[in-house]
Amino acid sequence: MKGFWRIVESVTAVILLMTFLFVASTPYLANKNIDYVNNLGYEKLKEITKDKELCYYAVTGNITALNEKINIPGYKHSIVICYPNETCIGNYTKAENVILTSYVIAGCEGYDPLEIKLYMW
Amino acid sequence: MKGQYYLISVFFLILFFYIGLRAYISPSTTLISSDELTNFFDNVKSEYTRSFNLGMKDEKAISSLSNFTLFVKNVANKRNMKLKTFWMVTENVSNMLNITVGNYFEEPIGVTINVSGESVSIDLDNEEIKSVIFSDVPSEFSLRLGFNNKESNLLLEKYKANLYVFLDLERGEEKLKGEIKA
Repeated sequence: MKGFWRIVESVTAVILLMTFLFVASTPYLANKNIDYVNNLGYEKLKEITKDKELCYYAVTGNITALNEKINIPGYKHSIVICYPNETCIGNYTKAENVILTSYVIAGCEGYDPLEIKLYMW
Repeated sequence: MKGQYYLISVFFLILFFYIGLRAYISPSTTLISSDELTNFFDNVKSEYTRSFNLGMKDEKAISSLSNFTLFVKNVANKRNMKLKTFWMVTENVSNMLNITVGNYFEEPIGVTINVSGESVSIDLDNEEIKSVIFSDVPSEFSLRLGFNNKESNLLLEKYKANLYVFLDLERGEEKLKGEIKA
């Protein structure tokens, strides 16, 4: 009987340890993925200032066209544009665990600053 | 026998605690990357030059720079970052050199400008912009700029508009500093 309980103790200890390692490592693994997707989104937003068409859509607030032109493989996304007067246009998502990246642009043809927020999930 | 039951109970309690904690944390969270500070710094650096160039097109370089500085500082604040900047613009006005400096360090600073041996000192309050004019400046000149215990030596052209920006971005322990020369 003593041997049986020792086995139970050992198995319990192993399960406890494995549970702890799993729980402790999950945020680290998730963060690695967040950084990857965030940088992917950031590079897409950076392209907006280099592409006249995308830049035009951004300064004219054409969210639909911008959403169509930006593609994040394996992720759904939504764009919100915010202006210096604190007003924003676009759709905020209600999805869970959304990755947010943003890019500030000074303007395209003339000085017209705004912040483009990209939500990915 | 009691010890074993105690051990099993503790195991399940810990397991339920972690499961509960994860369920509590996960719903509808916005995940922010640890690269956010670096990306924002890179973003601001490239767009400062753009704001200056776009402002120059409309002959509003100084107001564009000032407006852009306040805009990016506000964006940084919303992300729990602190952005401190100082900038300087040199322009040729009626064959004289006009130098404009702007302080956004959130505290008053003293600025020393030395153009080809001629030195001028300026005191700037936070968010204050001041201009000085230098005459008899050669078409290519050296400029020594001193501000906030920092010194920068620049070799500039008189007949070209020049921009210098110093950026200091921080969030908690993370700090990034850099210069823009355009």
